[in-house]
Amino acid sequence: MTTPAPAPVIRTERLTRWFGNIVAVNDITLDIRPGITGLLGPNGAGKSTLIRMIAGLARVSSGTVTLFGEPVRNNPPLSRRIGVMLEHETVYGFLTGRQFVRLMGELREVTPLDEGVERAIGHVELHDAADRKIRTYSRGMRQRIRLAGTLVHDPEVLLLDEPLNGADPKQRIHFQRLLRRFAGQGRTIVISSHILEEVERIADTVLLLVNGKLAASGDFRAIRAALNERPYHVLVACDSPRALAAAVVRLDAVEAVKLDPDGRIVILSRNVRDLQVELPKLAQRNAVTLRRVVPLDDSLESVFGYLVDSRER
Amino acid sequence: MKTLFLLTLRRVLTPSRLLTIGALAFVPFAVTSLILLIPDAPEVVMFEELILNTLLAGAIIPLATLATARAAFGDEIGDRTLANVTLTPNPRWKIVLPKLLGVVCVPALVMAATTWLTGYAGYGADFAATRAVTIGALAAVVLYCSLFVWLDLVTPHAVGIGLAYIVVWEGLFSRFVYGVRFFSIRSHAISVMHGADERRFAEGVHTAPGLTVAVAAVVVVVLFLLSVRRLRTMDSP
Repeated sequence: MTTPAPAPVIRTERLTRWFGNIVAVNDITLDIRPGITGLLGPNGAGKSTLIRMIAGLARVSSGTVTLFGEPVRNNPPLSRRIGVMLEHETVYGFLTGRQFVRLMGELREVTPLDEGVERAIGHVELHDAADRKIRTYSRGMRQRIRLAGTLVHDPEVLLLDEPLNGADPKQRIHFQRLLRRFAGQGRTIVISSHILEEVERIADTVLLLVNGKLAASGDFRAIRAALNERPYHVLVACDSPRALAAAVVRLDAVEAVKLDPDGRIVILSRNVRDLQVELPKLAQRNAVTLRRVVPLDDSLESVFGYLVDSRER
Repeated sequence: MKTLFLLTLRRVLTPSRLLTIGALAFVPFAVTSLILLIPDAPEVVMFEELILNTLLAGAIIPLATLATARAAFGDEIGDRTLANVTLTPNPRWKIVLPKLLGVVCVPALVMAATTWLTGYAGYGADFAATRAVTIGALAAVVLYCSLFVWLDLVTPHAVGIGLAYIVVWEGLFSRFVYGVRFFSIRSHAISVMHGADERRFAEGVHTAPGLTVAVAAVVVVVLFLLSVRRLRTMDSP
């Protein structure tokens, strides 16, 4: 017997938002359930607009968005259940970290306030710097105190727009653990990012947004598998291109090899991970010195473009 | 509401804003004092027209309130902190009211003090007249603040539009175009001064004191409601 999936907490139906002639979010229908959902897409894909509409901060041009079955727009009581951390810095530099979290708690009518403030600061491990003015904080510290302000009222839903910007590796690991813990408590967490690996490490479910449209959604492994099948072009510069090209073409990971007029090799591979391993070995065996190895289409846009194309095929 | 009031007050009480308000507020008193040093000092009518009507109600108070009203919403829209305030369980009127009070109280205090000094000097220690101009100045502060707070919610160009309004509408049209004075905050302030002491601005055409107060109250309430409505319908940055 399988456990039924929990009811969706966030639901959008044909959600669309235009800014003049530009369609920022286009006809998105989705259900988001408890757990961590990654909202992935290149810059300008519409992630922030979607999060802001889910939070009720932005109007919808058409369609609907509900949280816990209630409309979000002009529904102030609902904000007791939502914590939103927007992409842009929304702190008051003239306050200390503790004053900022306290202010967020007061505005959200947290009781008991002192307990909520200390717990939130503890979540982000910023007790040592909590009494310093925020304007003296590093970018990573400002992100953490903003997160504390987002958590002070213990919300059931967390909407986090690019929360790891400016965080160092240690903070990222701490942040991932924190979100995992919250997700384990049954909260619904939406985290947006334009970095594939970042979302892969945190999210159970992924929503891929490209040009305002939902390009793919579901389990991350399925999306990763689709990505691994994607052909990559890799440019290689070396001191003996003909010799290397002759050797490389025999690799299983390689589909085609081209020599360009400048004497550089362009390799087409569907298994770029194997190619990464085999290419240096091959060069060493053939006494070829590699000067440059550059992926030609590794930008996020091309990754998403591939997924969109493969979905349409 | 206390939290939002104090937050707004903190934004108003920046050194640059205090310096701006203080410097502006001091101008009418300084000019009045200088004029009084002249052996043939102008008559009271000239003092009322030039210092109180043109300078104080038509330029100083609107400029000072334009600078402070920005602390309510304009600054928060600019630095994108408005979402901190709107993502709360408070109804929108409970956001607008403390912010409006926060931006009114500082210029009100400063203007009341300097207008009192100006009136006291200009009217030669006439307490009734001094009280009347102070009341008129306070009415102007509340009306201008209500207008500029709403303007900040409506347009990102509130400062430019506000300056144009002060120069074109209050400075030109409301003085020279018949009927426009009913839509002028400056004219209302002068009518309040006249209503509080009928000897003052005795030569002008004024609305009845009761009507003046009623219109001013309606304008403040309408602008307040428009601000609440705008906050409900706008996108938070």
